[in-house]
Amino acid sequence: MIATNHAYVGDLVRLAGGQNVFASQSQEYMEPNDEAIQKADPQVILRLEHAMPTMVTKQFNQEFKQNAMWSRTSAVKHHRVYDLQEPTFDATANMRVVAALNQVSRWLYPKGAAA
Amino acid sequence: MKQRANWWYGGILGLLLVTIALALMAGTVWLGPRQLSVALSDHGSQAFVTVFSLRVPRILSSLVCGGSLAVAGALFQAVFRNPIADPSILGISSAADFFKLGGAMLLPWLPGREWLMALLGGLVALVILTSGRALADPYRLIIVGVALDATFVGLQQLLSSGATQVSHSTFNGLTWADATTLLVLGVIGLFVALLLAPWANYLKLTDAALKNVGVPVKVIRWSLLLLGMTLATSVTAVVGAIPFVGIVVPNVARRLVGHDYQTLIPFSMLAGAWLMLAADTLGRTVIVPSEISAATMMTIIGGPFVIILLQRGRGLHGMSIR
Repeated sequence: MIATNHAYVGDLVRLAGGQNVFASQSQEYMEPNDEAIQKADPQVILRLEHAMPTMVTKQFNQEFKQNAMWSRTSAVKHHRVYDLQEPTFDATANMRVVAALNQVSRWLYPKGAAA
Repeated sequence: MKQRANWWYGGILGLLLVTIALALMAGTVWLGPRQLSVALSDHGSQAFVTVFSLRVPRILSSLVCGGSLAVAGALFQAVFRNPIADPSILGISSAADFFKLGGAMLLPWLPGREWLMALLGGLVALVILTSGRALADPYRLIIVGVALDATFVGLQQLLSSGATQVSHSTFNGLTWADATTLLVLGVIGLFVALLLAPWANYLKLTDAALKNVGVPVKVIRWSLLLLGMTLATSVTAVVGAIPFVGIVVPNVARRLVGHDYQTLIPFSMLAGAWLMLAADTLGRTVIVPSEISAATMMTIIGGPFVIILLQRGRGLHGMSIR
């Protein structure tokens, strides 16, 4: 499931100066298929460890290992896959938004790299 | 009858080829016949990757799953002498789904876990179905099956509540490894089904008549039932439960090619493969970039079909499976 610009975590990307590859007119979350993700070719992938972090992260890693589609995205090729961890990040907005936004900015535009 | 069946065979084969070609072309990016041939000659191109590693495994998987589910339905209908018996409506598929989820939580180290657990789940559901009085009349069987199905769906939600998403039964994200598993299991199962098709014809006679001729009724019944269960749970193990294919396809097939299981089973296989591929291709192209899962597509197509089938007045007893 992918958070679009209409969801809190999805919109952090825009606030940090990036572009969410799955922008939507009205939907908060969507489930794009493999072809659509491959076509969108994200440069950075942010994975939200929601609800049960250890289990979810394990599933993320397994999915990224098993499904070769991920390894063809720019983000994976350039090792720019990051895990958003609770409590800084959550599916809904909270008081830690400043820290969260700073973190996303650093991931999207690391110091030294051309912005 | 024979002549007409041949025409239908030709028709479904043609339809299959056209749909496979369309499924290769359609997707997030439309690839016309020329781009397709270019893609196949240039192995480094983006188009080749899209077609070969995303579309082809998906097409093969949906073909095998559709064929398996349709044949499983036909076998169940022969054994239970009930025109709407099918592993999904009788709770076999959701039991397999539930056991698969339980296995993932309790025995994550087990090799071949998903298939073994799904098979075990199917077996448990089958034992529950056949042990009581459900076999006494067709209505009771279906009601017990529906209740069993609801129970296992509920248990699955209980087990997964708060933890993970409930599986969606979609062909999205299938890898070549999944497709290969499905192909191996499906092709073996379907081949055995073609060999055993004459047995399904025997079951049209009453048990007493069969015993007089000296046919081992029990052996026949259980082998066909286990075969149908294996076909259906193999699909559940890799993809998830997909409803109605096993009811819609064999019933339409009876109208088209007649009631002889030796023509009915191969025809159901082809028609099921086509229906599944068509439903999945439509599901993944109508709301790009998201998609409608194969299970949802089949529910929308199959639900009304079963309602019409049963509401047309003749009821279970009027509908013949012979």
